Amino acid sequence: MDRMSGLGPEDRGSIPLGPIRKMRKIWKRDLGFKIIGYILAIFWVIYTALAFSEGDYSSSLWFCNFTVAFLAIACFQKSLKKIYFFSAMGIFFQTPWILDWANFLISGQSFFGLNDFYAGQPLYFMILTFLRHTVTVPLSIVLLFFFKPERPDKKSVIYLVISIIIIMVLSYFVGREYNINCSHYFCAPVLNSAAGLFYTFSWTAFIILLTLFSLYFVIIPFHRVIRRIKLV
Amino acid sequence: MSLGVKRSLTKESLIVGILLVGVLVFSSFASFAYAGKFDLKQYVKNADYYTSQLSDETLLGIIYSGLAVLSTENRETLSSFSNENFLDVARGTEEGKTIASSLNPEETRASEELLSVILNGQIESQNNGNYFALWGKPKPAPVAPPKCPAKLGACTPGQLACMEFELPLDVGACEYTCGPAGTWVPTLRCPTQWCNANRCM
Repeated sequence: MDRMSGLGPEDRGSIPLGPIRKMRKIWKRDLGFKIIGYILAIFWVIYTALAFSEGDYSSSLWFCNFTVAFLAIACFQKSLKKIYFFSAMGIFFQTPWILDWANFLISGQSFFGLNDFYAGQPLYFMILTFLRHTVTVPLSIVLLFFFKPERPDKKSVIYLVISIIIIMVLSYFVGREYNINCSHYFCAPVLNSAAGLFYTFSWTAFIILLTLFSLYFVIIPFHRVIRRIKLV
Repeated sequence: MSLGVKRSLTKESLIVGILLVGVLVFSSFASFAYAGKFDLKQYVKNADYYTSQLSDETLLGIIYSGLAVLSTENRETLSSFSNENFLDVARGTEEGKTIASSLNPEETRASEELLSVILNGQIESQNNGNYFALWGKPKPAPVAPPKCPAKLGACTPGQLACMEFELPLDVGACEYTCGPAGTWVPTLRCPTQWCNANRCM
């Protein structure tokens, strides 16, 4: 009996198995995306609701938080472009925070001053934040396995750049005291003398350039490599 | 089947998309509106984190330094607080939580103003280095104490006073707040030479 189609060997001559198998594979893949999308969306809703209930409105504006919802949308739409964009940003801007979290948990020291960021926050909030940071980048890499490599069109890349600019402008105008997405001064306390409007412009330009570099020279080539070595 | 799944996926992405935009817009406005403000009830839940390393004396020093820069109206609203009350709230004890939840709107506003003044680093006291370090905020540049003569006599902590003086080389008036030790601490050099009751004219 065929495990995927449910047909015995005697039926194989009359009914072509290829399309059925393909349909099941697609259905399973869709279901997988749906489940991951739901998990991410529910996680994001819970985190945001808890943050709002604590009077913490600004944390929703951090890249690491709203991209959980962004990634959920990417899953629901099965959009490779969106997963590429998240991975391209996350790999360079979120990974350092993950490493800092690890360092913070092991040694109690933090390059980005996590002890100050989470000063007075309840423990469950810290745990959710930790999960959010550690899960999303690896997950986006795993999601790449379900797609064939494809270069995103120029229009989408222009939208990505415009989105980064809008987010940074929004982050800047929310206020210096929140320093959302490090828009007012560098997030690491040892380097936070880097500040001012020139810093904001440079930081935004740096984010755009590094994201594009990451997209074209890290994520897409990496995706091609994992396809070539037949991991999927 | 495949089409059905696809349609529902689009609907879900639309819902999450609308929620995401709503949250981002709301968060931006709310963060902007609440910038620099602190919620007392939220503070007392986690107060221990901030104040556990500070002695009572240090804590009271910070609180009285904060009181000194509050508006007169808010300072008078909080004048009914004893040192124990301030410490309970600052440390987030059960008593402090009860106090925080039983304040009337004026007292809540005044307390939150005091909290904002302290946590935003608008005050300077000799002992608050730890406090600012805990909050990860740079310690503000030292502010020179107002040039005022010492006011003698015992007082009740939190009490306010204003004194006009005429020294050989200096004439003026100053506002004083009674510190935790029951002595007068100069808080403000009046812009004129005169007092009006317990305040500068």
